[in-house]
Amino acid sequence: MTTTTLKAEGLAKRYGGVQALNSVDFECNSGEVVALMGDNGAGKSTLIRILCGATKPDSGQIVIDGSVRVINRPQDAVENGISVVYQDLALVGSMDVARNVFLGHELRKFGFVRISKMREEAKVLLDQLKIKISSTKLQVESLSGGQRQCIAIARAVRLGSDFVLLDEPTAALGPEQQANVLRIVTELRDSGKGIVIISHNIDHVLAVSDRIVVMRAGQVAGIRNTKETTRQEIVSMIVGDQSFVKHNLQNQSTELKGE
Amino acid sequence: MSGKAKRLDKHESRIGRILRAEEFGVVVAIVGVVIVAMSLTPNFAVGTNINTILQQISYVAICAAGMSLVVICGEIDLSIGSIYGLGAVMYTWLSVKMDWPILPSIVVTLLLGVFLGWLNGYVSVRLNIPSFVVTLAGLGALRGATLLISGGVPIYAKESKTFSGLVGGSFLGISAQVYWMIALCTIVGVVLAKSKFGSDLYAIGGNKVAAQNAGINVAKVKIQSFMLSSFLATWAGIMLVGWLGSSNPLTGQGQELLIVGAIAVGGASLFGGSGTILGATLGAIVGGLITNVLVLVGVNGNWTFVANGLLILAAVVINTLVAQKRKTLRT
Repeated sequence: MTTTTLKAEGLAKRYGGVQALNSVDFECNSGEVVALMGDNGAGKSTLIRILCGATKPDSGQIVIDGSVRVINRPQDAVENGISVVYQDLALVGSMDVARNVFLGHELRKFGFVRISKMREEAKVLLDQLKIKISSTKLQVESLSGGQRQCIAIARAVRLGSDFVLLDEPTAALGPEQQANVLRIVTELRDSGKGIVIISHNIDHVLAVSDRIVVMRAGQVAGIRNTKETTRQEIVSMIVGDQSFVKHNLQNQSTELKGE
Repeated sequence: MSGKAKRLDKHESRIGRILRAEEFGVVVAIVGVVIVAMSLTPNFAVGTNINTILQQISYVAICAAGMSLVVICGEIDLSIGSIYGLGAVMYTWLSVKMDWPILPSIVVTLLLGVFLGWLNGYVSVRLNIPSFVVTLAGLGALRGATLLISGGVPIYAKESKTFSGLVGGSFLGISAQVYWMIALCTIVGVVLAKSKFGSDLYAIGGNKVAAQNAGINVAKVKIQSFMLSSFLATWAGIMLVGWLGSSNPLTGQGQELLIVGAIAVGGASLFGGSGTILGATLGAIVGGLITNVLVLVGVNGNWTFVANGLLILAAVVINTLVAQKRKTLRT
């Protein structure tokens, strides 16, 4: 399987007096899970919003497979194979599972929405992702948070995205549901998707990610391979423990950026 | 999967589906009113009376079908009664005062209606002003315009046997309006249930941000719903003239209440995201039945307003309780 790379180069974004992002470089390959960590206000969500076309950067560019892509709207991102999953901003509770999976991209024939075809295909898709929902006719608001998160992910998958961005996919979920979401993240990675996941939960990040990008004050504070780092190191990078960072600089000076 | 989800799934049996249908409440209401009516007066269950009820509510039902689209996407059009009245007066003004032939008068009146719908939608959606306020202004302004155009007096319609037969005649003992109501409500119902446009309306009313994120053009779809609603209300006004033979500048005053009532009684949420055309049509029938029964048993006609007000209140309370119940079913 060929590797596709999603790159962001020199992204900057200012909101009034706040420099939300300051020359950020970021990279995610297909078949890997990159975790974005950092305190509130570190710039993680701004980065995700730029990648998915919801926010326009002041400067910088997005490069996929070596060519610069213009992503000004969410639609542009989808066309370039990037889709984003927001936990509560993705689904319509009063509509059923199948309609939510196909939201905005309904199957049609002679102008009529093909609801039974959509239900069939949604069922197949959910089975593929091993998402257990008894019926695609169920209203989404009757489902658990974990199931809803899975449906939102399934929709991103159905759009054929190479890269799926997940903003806090395990927040506000019970342990069992969290495990389920993480399992799907792993399965997507194994099927060759590139996954970018924002999370505050270091256990989840250590469990599923291949690389961890820590952001602080709008900059990339450091990048680590998950296998070669420790919880201690990541936490120190998040909080900006200077003694640790300095100590670290001496050992692995190449890993730190944007200081 | 949790036990609750399993239980919900079992509800997908046929009986469960009937019980959970949005129209279930309104059907119960119809059955209830009919039983009370039949026990109160023998004149109720007469074929001609049933036809009269359906004929009278057809205008409300047609307007309610259109406005359901607006309500489902989370907006409201309070100017609907004024647009209905303006449709009636504008048509007679063009065809009688301006002496235009009937067909161009109808077409231009309909275009005016569509334009007013666009204006309501544009100002509400693009300028981000609640449609409640925008259309409340429309309710007053358009009624004033109607009074000004008509000079405040009824205008007698141009004689046309074809037109009045088409919109006010009868066939097989059933009035033309009943056929119009069935045809238009069916078309709007199919559009809502089966088209991408209908699907978008439910999505926008259910979760506007999600709809936007999914690439739905929220503003465009909302404005289209206002235009369709206004089109149907204008046509209903023109139909009324064809039947009555004249237009009255006060036509449709207070009609917005009956229309909102029909939609709410039909099981739609006035906050958007749910509702069906069948429900709204049946809701209009409930309103018509209650009015009819009150007239048949001879109570003061003003009680019908009280009854309609209470009906809306009851419907909204029940819908809200049902919606809350559904939410607590979440696992």
